[in-house]
Amino acid sequence: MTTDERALVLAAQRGEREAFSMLVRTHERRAYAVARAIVVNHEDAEDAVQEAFLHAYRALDRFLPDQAFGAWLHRIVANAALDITRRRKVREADELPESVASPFRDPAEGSELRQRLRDALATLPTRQRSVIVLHDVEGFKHAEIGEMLGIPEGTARSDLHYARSHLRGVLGKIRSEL
Amino acid sequence: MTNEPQGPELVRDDNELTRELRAIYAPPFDAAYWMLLEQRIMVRLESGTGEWWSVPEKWLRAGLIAAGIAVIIAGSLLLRTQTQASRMAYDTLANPAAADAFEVARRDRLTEEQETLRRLLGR
Repeated sequence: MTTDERALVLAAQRGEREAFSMLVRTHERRAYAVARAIVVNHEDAEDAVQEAFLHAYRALDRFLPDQAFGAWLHRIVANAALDITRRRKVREADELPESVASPFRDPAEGSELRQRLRDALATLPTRQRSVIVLHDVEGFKHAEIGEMLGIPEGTARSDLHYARSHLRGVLGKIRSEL
Repeated sequence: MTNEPQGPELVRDDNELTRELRAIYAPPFDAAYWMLLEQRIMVRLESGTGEWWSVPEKWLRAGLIAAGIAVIIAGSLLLRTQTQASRMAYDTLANPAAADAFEVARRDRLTEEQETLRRLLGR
């Protein structure tokens, strides 16, 4: 954690809203990326980010300034996202199957390859999908992913392996058909 | 024999896969979106201030400790008053003279209090 960020965290712990607002500004993009890797759509990711920041604010006095604020926040975001995913699964148990549709601003929405990859992602278990996105898209290390999702590092490695293997197979199939 | 790609094919597939995943999971790029999200978080935080569950845990703990201390003080005062009342009741039974003296003192104090009240009311 940088000196500036430490100062911001300390100020936020004293109840200075502006300091907390700065922390939100600094971390919201990364927090969104973590949430988006876990939930199935943009709206849920946005909800998870908001819930996570509210929770983080309320739990600020439990945060030790020697910790990395980002890592602490990402665990909270991951928990909020996993919670939303669980609630959604319960709600949609008898409805449409889970989809990873992201209706907003996808320039290649019509691309068949991408659409079929989306469908393939939807068939992956939540944890495997989260691991591959957090690793391959967001660049988190296995240990960081394990900590965020509450799983051992080895499990994150094997989840990544299975997810990649599955998606590679899908990619090969698409390529042979196109 | 496996259908999984090997060697350069594997690298090519992984690169393509990563590229596609990045496109699918690309975050909003508009700066205004992030400013708005920050504002929404801060508004929710402000609006939640009045709710009991949104009070920072540090304050909640301090409040609970203060309430606990107040209950202990009130309890000990009540206990003390009850002990005094019991002692006086015992004294009354054991020593009627002392009880008379107590009654006189109580009446005098009441009279002083009544006098003060009269002065305050300007009568």
